[in-house]
Amino acid sequence: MPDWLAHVLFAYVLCRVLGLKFKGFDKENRAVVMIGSLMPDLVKFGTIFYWIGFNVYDYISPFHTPVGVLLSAALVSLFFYDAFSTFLFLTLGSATHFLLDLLLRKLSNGLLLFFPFSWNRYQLGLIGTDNYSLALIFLILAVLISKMTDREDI
Amino acid sequence: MVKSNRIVLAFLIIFFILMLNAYYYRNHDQYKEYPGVAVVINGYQRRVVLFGPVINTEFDAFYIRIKHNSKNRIIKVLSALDVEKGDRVEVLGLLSQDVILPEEILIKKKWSYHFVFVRSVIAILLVVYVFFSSWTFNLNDLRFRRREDA
Repeated sequence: MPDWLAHVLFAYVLCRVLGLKFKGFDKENRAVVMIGSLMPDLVKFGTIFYWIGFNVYDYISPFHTPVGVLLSAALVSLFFYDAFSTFLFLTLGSATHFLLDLLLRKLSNGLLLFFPFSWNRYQLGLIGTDNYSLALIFLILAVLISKMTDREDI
Repeated sequence: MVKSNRIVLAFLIIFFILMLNAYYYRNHDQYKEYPGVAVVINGYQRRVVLFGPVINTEFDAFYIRIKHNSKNRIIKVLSALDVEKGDRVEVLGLLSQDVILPEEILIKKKWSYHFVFVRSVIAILLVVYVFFSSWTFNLNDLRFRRREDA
């Protein structure tokens, strides 16, 4: 994965850009999209178990698939008053996550984009998983777009 | 949405998530492109992908530790690439008797590997701040509401 900072900043930048054209991308919904951009990495909870000697990745990996994310977004959105729009914003955030992850270069384990209907894995192999330039680019864009849109909110 | 409907829907979604996870757990091994750490730990030899930290280096090789559950194995990688202790490497190659002849290697330098975690911690703090400055949790109804509506 690119680091979470790249995911979160990309989601933020996208929302600010979409907000220029479409209604609904206020700061509350931007926050939901940013949460959504990290949702596929719920699977990283497996790292905690890995450190204490248990491998749960073989069970929780579907959280890092579009269908798994749709289900977890549906579950999370039940904790909001406007569940449907929250679900849509979480899904948008998760889509940005998969878009960035698709760029990664790994020797195995590309994205299971069509799981459980297909086990084909996809990756474009353009950047390393520890690449920090994406986070840097999105940080610059986030600052620029915040200045340009001249809003007082985050 | 009525509270009882939410609870029913939540259980339904959890049921589907569990089904999805169980389906993956039962079938993922047969669809893997290359066998990974789990089977190598149990003695699998042939073409594999391994990932682990470098624990020692020699002139023409280095050693990585692979781990699965509570089991560890040390694998010798026949490569003269410039790696240091603590670097993380992903190796695709032919494994035989705890020695792997690599076809392709990806290296994450130790600082770069740890820097990913630092950036991710910053991201978590940022998201938590942004989210809770916009939303507040209503304990009575177990739902988030916009701060401006609270």
